Amino acid sequence: MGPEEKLFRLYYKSLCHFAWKFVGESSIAEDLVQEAFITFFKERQRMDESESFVRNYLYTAVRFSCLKHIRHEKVKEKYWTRVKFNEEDEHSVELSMIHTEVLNEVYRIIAEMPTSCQQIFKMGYFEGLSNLEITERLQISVNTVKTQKQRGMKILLEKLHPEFLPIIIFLLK
Amino acid sequence: MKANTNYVARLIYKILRGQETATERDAVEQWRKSDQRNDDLLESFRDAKNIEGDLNFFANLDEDEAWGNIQQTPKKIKKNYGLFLRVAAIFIVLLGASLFYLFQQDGEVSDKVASTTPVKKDISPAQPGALLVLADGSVLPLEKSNKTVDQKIVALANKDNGKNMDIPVKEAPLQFNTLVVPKGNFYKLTLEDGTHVWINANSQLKFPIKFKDNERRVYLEGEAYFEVAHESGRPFFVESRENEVKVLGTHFNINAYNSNVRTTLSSGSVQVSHSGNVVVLEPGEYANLVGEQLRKGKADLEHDLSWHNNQFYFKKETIVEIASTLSKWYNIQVKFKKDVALDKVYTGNFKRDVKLSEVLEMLTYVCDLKFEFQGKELIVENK
Repeated sequence: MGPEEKLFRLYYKSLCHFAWKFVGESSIAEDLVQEAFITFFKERQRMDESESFVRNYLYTAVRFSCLKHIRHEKVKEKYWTRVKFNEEDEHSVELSMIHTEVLNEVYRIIAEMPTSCQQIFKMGYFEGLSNLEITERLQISVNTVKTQKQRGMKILLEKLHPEFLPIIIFLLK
Repeated sequence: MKANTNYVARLIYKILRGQETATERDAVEQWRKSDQRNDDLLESFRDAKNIEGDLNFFANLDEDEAWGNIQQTPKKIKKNYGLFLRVAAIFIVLLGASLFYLFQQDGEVSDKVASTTPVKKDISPAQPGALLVLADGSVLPLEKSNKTVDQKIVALANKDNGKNMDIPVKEAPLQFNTLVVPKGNFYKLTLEDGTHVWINANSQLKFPIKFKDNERRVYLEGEAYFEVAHESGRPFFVESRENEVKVLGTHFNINAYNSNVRTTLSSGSVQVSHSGNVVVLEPGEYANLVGEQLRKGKADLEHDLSWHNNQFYFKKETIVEIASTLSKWYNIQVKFKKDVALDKVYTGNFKRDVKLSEVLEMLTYVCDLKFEFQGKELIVENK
């Protein structure tokens, strides 16, 4: 895998999610993000390639094209009065970047869990099923459910970037 | 911002473990209450069903297919958004600027501009280009490609050396070339020792055809970014006005546009001196010469090196300062009508290699300002 592909795979899903939150339609979000990468790869030789620069560049580019898109969708007036550019909105952009990256990381980790563990983990934590409900659905023992849930949580906590850890512990309570 | 988020995250973690102090608990509560969106963020995580939707979104994305799309020509992708992507901009309007900015220039302009037309023609961003003034006074225009030209300069330098072959080397005085980068241009130059220099618009760099044996010394007006080739036995000096920077091999920026000379170090180490005062910089620090005072501090690298990264980055800058940057890059004159608030500050960044109209469009979104052209002059007025 070349460096470009690596970079692409590192940010693609997060950026799509980030864009999706703005434009509300995943196909548009994907188009915008792919366009951003094309532009980025074309012009990267003129850029500093430090990690934080690349990340900020990509998020900024995607965010801006989302705003442009929204504006073109004739909801300009409404949107621009709702989303004023000010310091606090920079704040909320930062928060939605964090939101996106936490979720993407959680997604990646869950996707790497062993299948049975993954299934039970999702049911238990995301679908909100009780242990008993899971045993009924999957025809397995309560102990298995408990073990797998613990195992999944352990994997998640081990693999999650430490920076995100407090947030996720807080949220999954 | 990021630091703040991390701080809050750490506090939440402490609270969960029951280790927090009363003050810390208050701090988190305050953070939550300070902004509805902070609260919303936490709530959005908390609602498990939302997370499920988000995770499904990730699961449904086809990374391989997307990568395939990118590999193909951009034409295959809907073109609608391509144009807009060229400018990535965030502008934050910061209220409450403070300093009373004395600006009297062209106060009378307001009466003359009644018959201007809105921006129609467009102005391209700065292009690579410079004038090389050779030691013998002849002028050589340099264009385009900043890669091939390095050879040319070396060749020229050699040719000049050749001419002077009959003079014994010892007696040959140092001969200088001067690279003049006008407004609306920028240039990258490689010196004979392998040092790379990026020279910003409206700047000059004077350098000898051949460096001395014991030192390398160049003279800068304006702004440039240096990547100095390492030679431990032969230090590299950059002089700007009374400011001297001594380096061995390192990367740094010098901005000497205004009366100040600001040196920002991105890696390695440099020693900045002014009439006997010496400061040594660590990476991430800057030294600023103001009047006779040489001070150092922690630099905002993203800001100080933004031009080298091909970006405009304005940080609490007034429209006057922004206009000054734009005028160098686009080679235009800017005038302000009387009622324009000159003390209001703006923060934001966007790409530099875009047409002027795109920059102005961005500015229009965030300022209460309108931009119109009259000849080569850009007139700024209230909306």
